[in-house]
Amino acid sequence: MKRTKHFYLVLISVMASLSLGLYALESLIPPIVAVPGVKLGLANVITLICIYIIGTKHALAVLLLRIFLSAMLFGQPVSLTFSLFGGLLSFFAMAVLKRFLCEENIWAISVFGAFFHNLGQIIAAVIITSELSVAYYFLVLIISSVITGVFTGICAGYAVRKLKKLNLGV
Amino acid sequence: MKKSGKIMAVCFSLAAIAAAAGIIYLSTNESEKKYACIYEDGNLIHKINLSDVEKPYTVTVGSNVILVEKGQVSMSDADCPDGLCIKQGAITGDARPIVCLPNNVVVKLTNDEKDIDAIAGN
Repeated sequence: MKRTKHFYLVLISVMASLSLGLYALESLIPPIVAVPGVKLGLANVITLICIYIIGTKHALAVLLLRIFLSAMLFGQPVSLTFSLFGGLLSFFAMAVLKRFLCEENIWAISVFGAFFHNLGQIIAAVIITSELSVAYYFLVLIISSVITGVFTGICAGYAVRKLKKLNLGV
Repeated sequence: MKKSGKIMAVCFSLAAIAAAAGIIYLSTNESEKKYACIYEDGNLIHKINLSDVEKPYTVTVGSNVILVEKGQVSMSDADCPDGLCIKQGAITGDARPIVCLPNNVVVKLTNDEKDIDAIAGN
């Protein structure tokens, strides 16, 4: 398929709306643990797929679209700060690690992504509340990021293998 | 699974186990603390001496209602959409604070003698 500007425009839009949809779906799941930040991270599946299928630069556009749209549609005033800290830190960690880890290890990249997402959110929480003791919850988030990261990573890995066969583009 | 994958799987499991050990260590080694500090937007709003509390009472900070009892505090009501601060339950020691991120309210226990709240002790 010819890779024109419009091709990427459409692909980014579709991916951003998919990711927004997953984000909305996920917010319907009631929290299992009473710790802010523990969640599945389904939207990260799309971010991972984008990093592998349409490239880092376009994946960043998808991520930023998702963050700003979700903050506008469902967010509380603070959620944009948290999403930006977590999302961007996680994105750059995954984009860097992608260079060192082979495609078979998408699940591991996803775990690192989840870990850095939570790290970013804890940093944001410490800055916003100016209370260092909030960092206690990072211990809980480490455990949850390993579990949810493996899950979303396996999902993304499966999707990436199927999509590569379709020969979409990059 | 390749060797690198196995190594990473072991590392992740170790990280999760270490974090779990940290949580258990902090919660078994916590000591009773004397004062409850309530922060809103990073400012200390109330500091309550918990050993002086005879009858439980509530303190309202913004839209969060904090239940103060002898030796422990909990969040009894809040208007945040997730209600996670209420589910965090009561705290009796310094292992963890109660956090309500949407309203930026933090409750923690300490032995620090500074800035004791004179009014809320009634």
